[in-house]
Amino acid sequence: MSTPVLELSGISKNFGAVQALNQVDLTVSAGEVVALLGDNGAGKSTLVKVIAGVNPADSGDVLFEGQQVSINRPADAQRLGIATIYQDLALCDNLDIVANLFLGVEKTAFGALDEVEMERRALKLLDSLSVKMPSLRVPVASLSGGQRQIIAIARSLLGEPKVVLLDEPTAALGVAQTAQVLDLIERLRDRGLGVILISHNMADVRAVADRAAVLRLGRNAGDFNVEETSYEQIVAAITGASDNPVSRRSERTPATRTEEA
Amino acid sequence: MTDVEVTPGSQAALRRANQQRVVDALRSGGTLTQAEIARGTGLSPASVSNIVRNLRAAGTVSVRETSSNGRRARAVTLIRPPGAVVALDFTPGRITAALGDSQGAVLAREGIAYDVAAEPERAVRRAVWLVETLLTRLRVDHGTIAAVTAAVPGPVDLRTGEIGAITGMPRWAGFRPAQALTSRLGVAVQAENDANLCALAEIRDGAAAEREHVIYVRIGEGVGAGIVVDGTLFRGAGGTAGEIGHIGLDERGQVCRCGNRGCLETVLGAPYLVGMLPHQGERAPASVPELVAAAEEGDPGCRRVVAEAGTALGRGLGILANTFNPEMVVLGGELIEAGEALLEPVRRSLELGTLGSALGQMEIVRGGLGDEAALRGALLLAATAAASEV
Repeated sequence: MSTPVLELSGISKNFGAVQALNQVDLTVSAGEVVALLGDNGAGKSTLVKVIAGVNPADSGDVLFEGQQVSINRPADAQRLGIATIYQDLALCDNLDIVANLFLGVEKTAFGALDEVEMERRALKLLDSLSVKMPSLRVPVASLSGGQRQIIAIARSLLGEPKVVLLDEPTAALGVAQTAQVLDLIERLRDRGLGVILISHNMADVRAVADRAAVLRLGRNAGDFNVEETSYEQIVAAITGASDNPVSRRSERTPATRTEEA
Repeated sequence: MTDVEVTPGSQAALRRANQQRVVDALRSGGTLTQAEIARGTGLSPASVSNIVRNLRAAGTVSVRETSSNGRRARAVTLIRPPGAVVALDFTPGRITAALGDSQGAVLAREGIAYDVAAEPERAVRRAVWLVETLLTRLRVDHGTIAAVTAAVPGPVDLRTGEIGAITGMPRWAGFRPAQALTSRLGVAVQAENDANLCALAEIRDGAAAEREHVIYVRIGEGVGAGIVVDGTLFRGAGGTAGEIGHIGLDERGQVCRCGNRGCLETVLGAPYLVGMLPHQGERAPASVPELVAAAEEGDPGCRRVVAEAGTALGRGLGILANTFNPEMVVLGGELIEAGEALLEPVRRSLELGTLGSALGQMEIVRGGLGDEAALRGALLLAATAAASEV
C-alpha cells in the first residue's frame, strides 16, 4: 500500500457551539477497506459529509492522491472520484435496474435514450462484480434489500471512483444478503479501490476491513489493524472504556500517580 | 440460580458467588464428591452441602450415594449441558454453519454462497463471520461454545492438521484450517474430512443407524469415503484413509490430478462427468443435477454417462467390499439422485468383482441425511470433543 489515495488531517467542524469534529485524521490507501467506527454522535456521519462535500470542513487539509484539494460541494468530490452511498440508497423504486444505474447519466443516441447501450453496459458492470440479478428490467421495488444495496454500490462505480464511502451497507439485511454485500466490498478492494465502511456490526467489520478507525466524541480514538486487534480492544475504544479517569489511574504505577497528584 | 439483582457484598450476593464456585468446579471437574468440592473451592463442607441441596432442588445437579476411601460420600454431577457446539461445513461453493446442543442435535443453521476454493484464508475469515453472525442472531454468548468442528473436502493430516496435497481445492493444499479457525474464533477447532463426518452422521441418525461396519461414499467434485469399522471411524496412519477416488481402474484412462491414470475419480467426479458430454446446443447439461435430469428424460448420452459411472463405482466398491466386508454402503452426492439408473449398473459390476459371501451381507442405500450429513457429523464430533473435555 503505497501513498494513500485519500488523506484527511486535522479536520475540524463546528455546528454553532457544538464541535462535531476536532482535529480528525483519516487515511485510505488504494485496495484497502477502512472501517469507520464510533458510537452515536461520535462524528462518523459528519466526517462522511465532509468527504462527500455535503458539509465542508471548517479547517483541516485534504490530500487526494498526494495533491492538496478542497471539497466544497458534492460535485467536487464526484469529480475527484469519491463516491458515497448513503443508507437510503437514493434509488427510484418505480424504475428498473438499468434506469437506476444510469440515473442522471443516461446514454442517448439520436436524441432518444439508448436503452440497448445502457443495458449492455449495465450487464458488463454487474458481470464484472459477479452480481447475479433475475432480470435487469424489473422495477427496483421488487428487489431484496441486499440486491438494492448492490445496485446502489454498482451505480456509484459507473463514475470510475477511486474511493467509495459506504454508510451502514449491511444494516437491516439478512445473513445471505449481508454476505453478498461483503463479497462486493471484497471485490471493490480487489479492484484497487479505497473503501470507507461505516458499520455498527463488529462481525462485518472483522470480516472485510483491513483497518478500523475509531471516532469518539469528534476525535480520533484509535486506528487498529483489524487482523491483529481483539474485538474487545476495538469496542473499548468505541465506548471509551480504555480512556477514562478510572482506567487511566489503574494503568499508572504508584510513582506516576504521585506525579499526577 | 435466579436473575434477581442483589446488592453487592450482601449475604445473598455471597451465596450466589459461592454457588457459582461450586458449579464452576463441577464444570471443570466432572463428577465430584461433596468433600472434593469443598477442598477444591475452599468452602466449608456445610456450605457445600447447603448449596448442593439448593442446586439439586433447582435441577442443576444430580446427587448419588457412593463411597470414597471406605466412607460414605455423595457424588455430585452437573446435569445441565456444559455448552453448545458449532459445526462448519466448507464445500467448494458454500459455507454452512450450525449451532448444536451438547448432544449434537441441530438448533439453528445458516449458509451462504462463497467461493471457498479460491483462497483458504478468506474463506476462513468469512466462515468466522458466519459463526459470529449466527451466534449474535441467536443471542448465544461466544463463551458458552464448548467445541467447533469444521468439515473440509480433502484429507486432513492427523498430526499436523494440514490439508493433503491432492484435494478438490488445490489452493487449500498445505493449509491448516483448524489452526486458522482456532486463532480467529478463540475456541478450539478441529478439522475433519467431510466424507468421514458424513459416515459418522449416517451411523448415528441416518440410513446406517445401529450398523457397525459401514462405508460412506461421497461423490461430488471428487470421490471420498468414510470407513466405519466396529462402530468407529477408520482414519489410517496419516488420516488419508478413504481417499477411494484414487483407486486405479484403467491404466490407459485419463491422467488424474494425483498423477496416476484412470483413477475412480476420473470416471465419477463431477467435472469429468460433465466433460464427457458433447457441448452442443443451449440445453447441454452443465452440472451434475442437469445431467441426472437429462438422463431421466431419456437422453441417450446422459444415460450412458450415468450407467458407466455406476459400473466404475461398482468396481471401486467391489475392492472395498472384499477388503472391509461392510454390512452397508451408503452413497451420497448429487449423482445419487439418478437412482436406479446408477444403482443397477453398480450392482451388476459388484457381482462380477466381489466375493459372494461379502456381497450377500451388503446393502447399498442412499444417505438418509442428504447434503446435511457433513454438518450433522461435524456437530456430533464437536459434541464428543466437548464431552471429553469436561
